[in-house]
Amino acid sequence: MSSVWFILLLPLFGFLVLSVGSPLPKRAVAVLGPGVVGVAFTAAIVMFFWDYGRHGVTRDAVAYTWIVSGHFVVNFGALIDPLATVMCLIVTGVGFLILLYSVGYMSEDVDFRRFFCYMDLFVFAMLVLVLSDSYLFLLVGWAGVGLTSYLLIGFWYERPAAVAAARQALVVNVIGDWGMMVALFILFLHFHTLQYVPIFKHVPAVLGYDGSTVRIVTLLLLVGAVAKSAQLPLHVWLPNAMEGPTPVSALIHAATMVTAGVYLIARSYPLFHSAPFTQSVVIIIGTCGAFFAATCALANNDIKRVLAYSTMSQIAYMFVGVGAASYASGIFHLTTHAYFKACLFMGAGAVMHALHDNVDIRRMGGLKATMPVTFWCFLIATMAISGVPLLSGFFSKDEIVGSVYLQAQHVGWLWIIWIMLALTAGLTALYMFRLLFMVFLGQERDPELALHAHDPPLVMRLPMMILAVLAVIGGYLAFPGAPNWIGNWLRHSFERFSPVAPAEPATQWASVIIVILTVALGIFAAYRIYYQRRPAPEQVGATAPAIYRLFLNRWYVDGLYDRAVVRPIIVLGLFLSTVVERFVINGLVEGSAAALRDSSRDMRRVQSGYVRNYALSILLGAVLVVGYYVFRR
Amino acid sequence: MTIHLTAADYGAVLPIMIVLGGALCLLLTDAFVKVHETEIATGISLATLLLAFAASAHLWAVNAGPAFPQGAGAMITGDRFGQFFNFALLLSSALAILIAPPYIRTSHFDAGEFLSLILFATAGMMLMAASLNLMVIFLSIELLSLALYILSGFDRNRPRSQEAGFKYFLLSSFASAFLIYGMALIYGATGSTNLIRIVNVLGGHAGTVASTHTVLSSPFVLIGIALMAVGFAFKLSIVPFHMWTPDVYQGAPTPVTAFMSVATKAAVFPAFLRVFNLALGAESHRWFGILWALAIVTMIVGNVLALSQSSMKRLLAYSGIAHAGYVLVAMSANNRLGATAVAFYFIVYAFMNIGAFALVLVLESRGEAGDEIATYRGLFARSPLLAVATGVFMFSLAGFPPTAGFFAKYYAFAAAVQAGHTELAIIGVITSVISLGYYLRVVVLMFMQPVEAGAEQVRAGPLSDFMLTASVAGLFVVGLVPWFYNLAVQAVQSFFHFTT
Repeated sequence: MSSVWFILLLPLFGFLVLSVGSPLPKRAVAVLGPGVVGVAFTAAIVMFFWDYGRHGVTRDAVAYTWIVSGHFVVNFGALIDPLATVMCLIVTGVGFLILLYSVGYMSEDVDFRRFFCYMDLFVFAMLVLVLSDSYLFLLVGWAGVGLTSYLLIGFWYERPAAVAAARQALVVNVIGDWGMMVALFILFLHFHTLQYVPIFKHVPAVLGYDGSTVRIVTLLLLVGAVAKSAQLPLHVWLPNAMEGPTPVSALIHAATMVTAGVYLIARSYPLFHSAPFTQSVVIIIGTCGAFFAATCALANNDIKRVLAYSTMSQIAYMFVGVGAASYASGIFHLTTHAYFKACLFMGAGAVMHALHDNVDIRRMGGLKATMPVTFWCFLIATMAISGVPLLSGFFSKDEIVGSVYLQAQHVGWLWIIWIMLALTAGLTALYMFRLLFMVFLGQERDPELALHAHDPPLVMRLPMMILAVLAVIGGYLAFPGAPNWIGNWLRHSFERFSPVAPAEPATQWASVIIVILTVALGIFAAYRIYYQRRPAPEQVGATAPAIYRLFLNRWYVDGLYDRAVVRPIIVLGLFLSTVVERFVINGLVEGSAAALRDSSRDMRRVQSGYVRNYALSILLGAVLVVGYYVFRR
Repeated sequence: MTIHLTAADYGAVLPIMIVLGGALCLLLTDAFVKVHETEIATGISLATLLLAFAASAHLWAVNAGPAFPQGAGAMITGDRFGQFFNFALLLSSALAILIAPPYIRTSHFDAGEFLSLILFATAGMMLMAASLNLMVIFLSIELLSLALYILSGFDRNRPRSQEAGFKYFLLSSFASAFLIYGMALIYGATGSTNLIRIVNVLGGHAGTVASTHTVLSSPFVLIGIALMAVGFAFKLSIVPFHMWTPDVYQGAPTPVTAFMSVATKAAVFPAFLRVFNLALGAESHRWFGILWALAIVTMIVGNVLALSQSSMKRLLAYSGIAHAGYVLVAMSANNRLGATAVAFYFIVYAFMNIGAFALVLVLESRGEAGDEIATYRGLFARSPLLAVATGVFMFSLAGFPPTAGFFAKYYAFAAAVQAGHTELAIIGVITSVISLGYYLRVVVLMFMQPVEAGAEQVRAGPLSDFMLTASVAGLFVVGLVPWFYNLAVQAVQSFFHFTT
């Protein structure tokens, strides 16, 4: 039996045991919850070496066929290739560290067991998503992570804000699921299967290059990816999802689930490759999203929401990477992002723990002295995400920006994209260092709040430190100039089907140097404004009031959605529920139900209880059956 | 005439002999054991069933392939089709016996006598599933019915039980007359009671005196088919021969109801299939119209009447009528998928239907009015396991994926579609929707209604807990793992004439 089944089934086992294990002591939950994911991670490492030892050979592991109905065949199967393996390692590895962190973070919560129960279910669903060998089970995992995300955002269900955020996330994700499903219907119509391999092998033959069908399919898949990955224009749920516990934000809304959209596009690369129009759309959505989210992060004062916008911005970079057919660079950035963003969220969680769940950075400051470990981890992760040279984010982001730079030599409009990406890199440095300076350096603004601030316990410190180390060394998987190790390995996934994805480009030094300069400028600006001058936020706004208000109000997108979409739908819903539901639907449904009930009651009277009547019924039946032959002849 | 019996012949009857032997042992226990009688008798019966299961599994392993391993002069066969139904029968017998002990104790039944009758009935059913001759079919139907009459009226202190036993006896005898008359007519027309010979005569392979056409169009054969259909339909509680069902189910002791609701059908359907799909299979156009109409009426009447029941046992009786209709849909398709669907159905049905009766039984053993659906209000708070398990059984009976109940129904309707009778599948699906009206009512009462103040916790006991957990697990495993379905596919190889 392949180790892949262990990877899959262990978190499921953890979920099942935890869901019925109400008598389990807290200690057992604390061991079992993260433990199963840890063992799954070990199994993933085994699978990794197994496959890499066989030169990254891809293979399909089919457990068995579940349903056969005409063309429609459902296998329980896994597609194991470098892409799936990388995702698997991130989900189980980072997942294990975050679950470990949660043992400390959630230790005071009364619903300790329920938390780990959901988290294990999430890891299982995410693994189904990345390991599936067909779009069908991808969708199962897709919906599964959506469900667990909903459950975990609303984990503290007594808070109205958390419930509202959970509902919003679910509704937006359902829009994406709709797109996915329609895309799958169209795929099934043309390929008579939902298995990846037969679809991908025949994409050019069946759908052609740049045909309208492949355009529609990829655009619909993109709707799903955009909703899941919180990209423009379906991004509004992600900042609000920060109402959930911080480990949830770290695992689901930073490291893994929100990157599923990137995975989907990378996985479906033969489809996207045949649809250059959609690829352009992906690039544009990504670029606009990266810039938009960076500006929102710049003005926001909630430590977790700043990180949420930064997540959106970084995923937007990944979108540009996979949109520009530089799939390996997109996945590479996904990997490094998982490290440093999880580390940042852990740091934010530690700060919130120390400051009684306060999230307003205007009341923070000077925490470096009281929380040194958290500060250093946060600093490293901030440098990594900003793209400071020689840290992981630098390598992965530069690969994406560089591949756009290279393609811009041939396609003119990509220069605009490249400029915006370079600019956003500078903005990233600015908002991240703003966050760092305001939280950890300078004077403490609210001494009373920070009275008992201290570093978190070891069980929370350790995962944070490990991730900080990974945030430093993670980039050396693809050192510029040296052999691009991760790129070469992932190529096995992207060379399997025609058309073959282009090789990863060589390092574009001109692009690298310009990006380094903008990053340096961003850090310098943050240093001048938020370290040396340390103005009140109102003062920052005063210098550029209009544009500051624009950023602070998230470009008024949320308000626009509220007016243009949410409120009309609520009005429509009220109309439907009061008028249509009451008079039309209820009339039909309850009318037919009542008719059935009445006929049931009438028919009951025949059941008199007398044997003679029953025998008569048998006799009549027999006469009818025999009569059938008499009259048929 | 000397009867020469080979080892293979003995092998074919071995599972049945084991069950009969176990039943005799139980009667002896009754005579000698005075303390812990219920526990010992339960243990003996479960051990007997396990042993018979092993013997049946051995026969399965030995008798591969489509040929008929014929035992005892082609009266009965040890083929895989029969063994598969033996599995279902032994399973339902074991599940019913697992939940019976508390009820036996509260009703002061004689455990040895009671359980031995269940084993006798089981033996008759197994004989029926293995029979290859009209005479054996009739004999075994009487064997199982006799035991069931007594079991239905076993509670001598309760007039309802007595009434049930007597009603069942009277009406069943009436219906048996139709069956034997039909068999006699078929014998008269074909000159044989052996199913294989009937196939040969009707199919014109044997070079018989009468030409095939004359035999087939003779009124003897046609009326024979009609009367046999009536006889089988009574046992399967097909509308309009169903009226005994709710009364008997409600009056009989609950473990008996649980047992007979599944096992009787699991015994009669294989014989029904052997007679109609095998012996008369090539002539399906001559009987399809009857079964088509019966299936439709049965699905509609069963589901609609179940809606207005306030007694759980009557509700499950009508639900059982409806399910007989679904299985009839599969059978009337007269193809390989249909026969497979029938076989597969009863493995699933054993888990979900006997499980559904467990709730009634557990509450009745505590002296509560477990038959009244109203008593299930807020049951989840009183016994989470019982409520969750019953919820799963209800969803499975209603046909929700991924429970096995969905797949059982799916294959049954798929067979009809494959045979070109989509209308049967459509009516089946519509009536399944109606069935939600009563299955979900139970679920709503258990989970969404507040429990009455002062209601006690319900403990089902270790054996019942095991049975409930195993049934729930069984429903998910059978649904998710195709191994069981593949087993059913192998079982129908006896129907060698199916081309699709």
